[in-house]
Amino acid sequence: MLNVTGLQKKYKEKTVLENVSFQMKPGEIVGLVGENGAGKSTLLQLLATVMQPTQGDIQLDGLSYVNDVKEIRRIIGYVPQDISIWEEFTVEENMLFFEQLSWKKRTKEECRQLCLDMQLTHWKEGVQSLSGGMKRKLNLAISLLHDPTFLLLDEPTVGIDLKSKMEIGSYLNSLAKNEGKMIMYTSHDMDEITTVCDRVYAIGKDPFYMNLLMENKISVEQLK
Amino acid sequence: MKNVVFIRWMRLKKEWRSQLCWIIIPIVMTVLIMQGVETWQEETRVPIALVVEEQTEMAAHLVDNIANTELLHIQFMSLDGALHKLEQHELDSVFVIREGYENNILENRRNQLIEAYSSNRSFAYQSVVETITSYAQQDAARSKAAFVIKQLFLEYGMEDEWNYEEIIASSRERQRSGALLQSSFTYYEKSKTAEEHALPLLKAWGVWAFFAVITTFFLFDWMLKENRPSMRQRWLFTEISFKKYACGSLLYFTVIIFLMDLVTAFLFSSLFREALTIRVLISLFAFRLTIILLAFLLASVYKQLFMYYISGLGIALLFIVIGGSIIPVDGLTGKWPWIEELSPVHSLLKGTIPLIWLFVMIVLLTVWIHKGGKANA
Repeated sequence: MLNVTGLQKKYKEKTVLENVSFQMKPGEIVGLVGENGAGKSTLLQLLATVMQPTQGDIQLDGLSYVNDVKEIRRIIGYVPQDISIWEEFTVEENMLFFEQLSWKKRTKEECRQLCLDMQLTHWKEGVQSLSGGMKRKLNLAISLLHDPTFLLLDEPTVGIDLKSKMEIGSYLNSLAKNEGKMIMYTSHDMDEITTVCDRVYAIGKDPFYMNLLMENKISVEQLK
Repeated sequence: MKNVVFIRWMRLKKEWRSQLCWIIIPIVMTVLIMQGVETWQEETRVPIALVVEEQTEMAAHLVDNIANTELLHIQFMSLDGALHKLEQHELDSVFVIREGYENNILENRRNQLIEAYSSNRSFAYQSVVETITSYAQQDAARSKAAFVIKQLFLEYGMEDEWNYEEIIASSRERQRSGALLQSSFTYYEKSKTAEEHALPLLKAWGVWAFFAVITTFFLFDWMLKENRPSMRQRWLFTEISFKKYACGSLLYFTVIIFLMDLVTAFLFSSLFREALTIRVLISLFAFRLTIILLAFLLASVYKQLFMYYISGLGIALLFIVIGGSIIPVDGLTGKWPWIEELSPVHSLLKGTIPLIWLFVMIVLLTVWIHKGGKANA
């Protein structure tokens, strides 16, 4: 369970997020939409403990973002917008590298199965020769190695083909529905958002996304 | 630590070529440079031939003296062969120690002790003649002195305690152990400085130290590569933090580099006759640890690889110049002797431990390990 209350983030004098409050329940996939610079990535980074809020309170499964950062990081899976993998390694080596560093110990077969679950089949292949879609899947698979309960994905499907998008969407859906994971997801692709997410939050002052989703009869809430 | 070793092994499988290269470059470059210098020194020596026709102790001693003269390149050959080479201008001059050399000395005949040949291109002939003559005159003077001492023993009816050979041997020993020619400099209104042992122009460990500093910086570039901005967020969600991983890797690299340095010490001992003692090894490890910690700590503050590499090169040059490793900076260090102490290379060459450097590095490493940092990135 995630509780966000009165969240504010300022960069020097510029306020990016103001009085953001919302809740999420286990098994939910929540989409986050908004124009560029609206604060989607900032909100995800705040929720991922990558940066600190200027004001406000966040609680995850009863843990405080101020006092229990280390414990919170154990249950968070953060997939940054930039692909963060070792280009010089194979898929296998990347998975084993991060498995060695992870809280949860997995066998090589379990690591491989994690990749296969999201249709990442090029186990022995070098990352440099992988397609953009495969790299995105590997980026996601590494974030899932420690079996987090709260997944934060910053535009995980940007720049990849429709098939890979659908495979990632389908996998996320199974994680939420079968394993009860909470997932927050940002994207500019409305079709993807409406297909994958249970609820959508619109962020920013521009009513464009809000209106677009309402026209499509999608449940949407304005965050600020 | 097991995880770190596993990961480093994975990385080593990908990066072994470059890492091996950085580890062996200091040895390879030192061997190449030292051999190059040796060849150059050989070529700048005056080539002369020595024809030795007498096999007495005195003749052998003269040959040793000539052979140990730094600026002469001696070839031993027959007179015919030597004269042929002299005609071909492959030799500067030819010297013959004729049979009867020892007898002539003992009988105090000091003229025409050595026969010499030169050509119209024997540019160094006069200097070489002076040098070799001085050695022969030494023997003659020593012999004359022994003869006089013996005469004195007889004249005063003293017991004949020393024989002729003992007087000669004693004279040689005194010449060898005592500094017969000594010079010291004092500046106006300045007290006399203590005698200092000048460092040679080029020393194997000095050359090695230059490349060792640079390559250590290259070896530790993983600190920047593996913690680049795109990967930094990954390290927040791992059980082993980047700091722990970096410390484990530091230990891993230190062990590997120390092992290689041990091999280097053995190699230099056999190739360049460098001393191989516990003191040398301790000094070597202390120097290397200082450089490793310096590279590691600088890598932890730099953001750009290029600037980090440039700093490594700059630090290597600075250490070498102020440490007097390749070009002794007597003018600078004569005025400010403490400057040499700023370079750990100087400690390595002296066979001591760079205590101040090591202390500062260990304190900074401790601060780096224990500094809290923000809970968030």
